[in-house]
Amino acid sequence: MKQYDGYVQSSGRTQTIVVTAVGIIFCTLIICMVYFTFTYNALTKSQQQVSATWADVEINYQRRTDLIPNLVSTVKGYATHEKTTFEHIAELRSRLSSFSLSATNVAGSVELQKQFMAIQGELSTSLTRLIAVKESYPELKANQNFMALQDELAGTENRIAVSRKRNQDAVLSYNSAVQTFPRMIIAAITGFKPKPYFQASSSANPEVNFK
Amino acid sequence: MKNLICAVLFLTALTCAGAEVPKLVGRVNDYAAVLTRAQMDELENMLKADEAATSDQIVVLTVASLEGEGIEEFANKVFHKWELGQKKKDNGVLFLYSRDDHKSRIEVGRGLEGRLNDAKAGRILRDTVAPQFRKGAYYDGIHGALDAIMGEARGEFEATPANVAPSSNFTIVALVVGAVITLICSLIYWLVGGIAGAISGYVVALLAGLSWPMTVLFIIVGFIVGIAARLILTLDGSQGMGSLGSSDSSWSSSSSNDSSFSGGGGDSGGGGASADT
Repeated sequence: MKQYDGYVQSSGRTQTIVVTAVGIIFCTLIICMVYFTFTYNALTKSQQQVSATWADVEINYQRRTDLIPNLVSTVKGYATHEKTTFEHIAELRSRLSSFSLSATNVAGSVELQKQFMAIQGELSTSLTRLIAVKESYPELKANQNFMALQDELAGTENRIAVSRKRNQDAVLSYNSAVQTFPRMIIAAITGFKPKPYFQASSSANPEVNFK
Repeated sequence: MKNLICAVLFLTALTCAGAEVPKLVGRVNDYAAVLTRAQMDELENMLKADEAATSDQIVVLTVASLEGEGIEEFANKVFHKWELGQKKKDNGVLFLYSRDDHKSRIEVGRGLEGRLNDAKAGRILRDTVAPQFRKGAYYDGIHGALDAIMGEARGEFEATPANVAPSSNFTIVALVVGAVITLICSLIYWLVGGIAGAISGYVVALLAGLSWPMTVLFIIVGFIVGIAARLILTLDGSQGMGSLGSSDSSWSSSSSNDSSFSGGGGDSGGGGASADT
């Protein structure tokens, strides 16, 4: 390449620049690819955690519903005059069963979730009233079966509270991942949206939050 | 600015209501000082033997006060932090007593809820613990409760040796395979070797479950090694496999050795019972 001395020299420098540029672009692409992979996986896992913890919430609510027949019949054995409470509980139970009969996923619809939580809130109030009946009936209060059922109900209520808190934590963690920069970009591209959660209040009107 | 700092500190203090989770010092954590040293050792040995036989982790915690927190909330907090019970089995039980609040709780891990259900836990507290505690016989009460708990829980689980995380084997295999492929590729062309090294680094990091900055590091290192392999091979063909950086990874596995007790990674869903004692 003798007659092209000058050309060879500058092409050597050009070659270095090109290789460096390719190297930088390559590295940047790799970094972006890796970041995308990890963020997508993290968002997916976070979403799964939300679903899993909500499933626990529903299981625990179902456990409470299953306790009701036994509880009501035990109390009825002693307190025959609490008709309104019994009827109200029966009505709430039938409204709840319509949720499990319909194949729709409660977690999939904010409206359904709201209705579900509202009924559960009313049920909490009714059950508290039912248990409070024991104060007027000392024999009921001392009944071993009733005490066992009370323990079971208290344990179930606690499970509900624990699982609701864990679900809330999962939703908050997911929402923060989906709404903070820079993960929100990847979330927007791949279709991850913020999820609602319900303030832990015992009132019949659950507040829905998206933050 | 000073007002702002004061406000922040005040709000922080408000949100930190409730007792802190005390340190796990053993199977018997007597922060309320209701047991003597000898009594604590006796209970400790009893619980250690039970864990050896069944892998259940039953732990006692006494505190002076709950500091305004509910006993259910506090018990769950402690159980969760201490990770009582083996990871997949969730066979932990926490006996909690708060002296000033005169309340006890038995918090049961998910795996034992079938045998030690809420009703049984409640009965243990009412029939065994409460009468003894009322007399101030704390050791008798706790001992009786633990006997009952162990009796109910027995038979559900058996002790098994700790498993090593299987993914560690995959990672080592991937590392070796990746190294071989990288070397072969580097013989073809230095850039091919570099790319092969980068891909190997990515795969190894993925299998090892590393965070993404570490993964990027592995990729870059793999790339550099891949290029370097070419140089090494051209310098001395008979050198064979060059020395690749050793990936030092420690797989976390729960271990309960005799000198210190630690939780096995289990959790509780909130099952159990509380009572005034």
